[in-house]
Amino acid sequence: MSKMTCRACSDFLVDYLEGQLDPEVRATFEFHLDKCRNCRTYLEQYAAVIRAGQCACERENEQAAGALPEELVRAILEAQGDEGSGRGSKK
Amino acid sequence: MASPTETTPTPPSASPDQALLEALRSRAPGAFEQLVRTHGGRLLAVARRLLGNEEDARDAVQETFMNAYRSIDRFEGGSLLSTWLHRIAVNVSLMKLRTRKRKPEESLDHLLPAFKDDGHFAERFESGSEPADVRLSRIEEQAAVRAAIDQLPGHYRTVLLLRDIEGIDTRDVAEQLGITANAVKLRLHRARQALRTLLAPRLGRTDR
Repeated sequence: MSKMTCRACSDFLVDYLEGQLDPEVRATFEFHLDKCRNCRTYLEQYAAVIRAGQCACERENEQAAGALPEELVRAILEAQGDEGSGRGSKK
Repeated sequence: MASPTETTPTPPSASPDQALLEALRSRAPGAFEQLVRTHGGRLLAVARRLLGNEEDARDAVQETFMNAYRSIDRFEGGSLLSTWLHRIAVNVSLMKLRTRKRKPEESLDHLLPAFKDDGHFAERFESGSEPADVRLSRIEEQAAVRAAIDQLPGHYRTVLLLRDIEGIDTRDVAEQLGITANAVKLRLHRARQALRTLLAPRLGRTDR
C-alpha cells in the first residue's frame, strides 16, 4: 500500500466525509489514519465543527420559527394584496 | 430563477401541508398569511445568515414570499413547502449578494494548518477530556460557534453556509456562485479548517 502524508490526508477530508473517495485512495487514507493519531484527532475536530455549526444554526432557526417581526408580516401581506388586486406595488 | 425545481421527494403521508397548499391555490382568505406566519421566521434566519444585514434579509424574505405567491400553481407538492420556500429564500439571498459591490477575496491562510517539509502537521492536536462534538454542541458553546462562522471571510462563509448549514449540494452551489465544483470544495475545506482553528481553544490542547 502506498504511503500518504498528513498534508495529503487533509486534502482528502471533504471527499472522505462525503464518501466520495475511490476505494484505493480510501484504503490508503484509512491506513494513514490508523497509524497517525494526530490526523485522527484533526479529523475528529474537523467533523465536530461541521456538526457544531449545524447544531448552532438549527437552534437559531428554532428560535426564529414563528417569530417573524409583525411589521414584516404586514409588509408582505400588503405587497401580496397589492399584487392580487393588480396594483403590483412593492413594500 | 428564484423558484427552484423540487429536489426532495416526500411520501404523501409525510406531507402535512397539503391542506394549506390547496387553500393557497384556491386563494382562500388567510392561507397566504398562514404560510407567512408558519415559515417566515425560519426563512428570516436563513437570509440573515447569508446576507448579514437585517434590512437586506427582510427584503429577501418579502421577495421569497412574493415569488412563492406567483409560482404556487407550479409547485407540484413533490417536496415539503418548507423545503421549497427554503430554496427560494436561498436563491433570492444569493441574488442579493451578487448585486453587492464585489470585494477582493480576503485571505484566511493564517487560519489554515501548517505542515512541515515532510508533509506532517506542524502542530500536535490533542483531544480534550470529552469528544469534540459533545463539547461544541453544548448550548453555551453555540454562540461561540456562530460568532466563529461570522468571522470567516465572505467568500468562504457563503460556501460553508450553503453546503454545511443549508444543505445545498456542491453542483448547485457552484452554479449559483458561478465557480467550479472543485473551487466550491476547496473553499469549503478551507472554511472548515479555519473554523476549526478559530474554535481550537474550545476543543483541547494544541502544541506547536
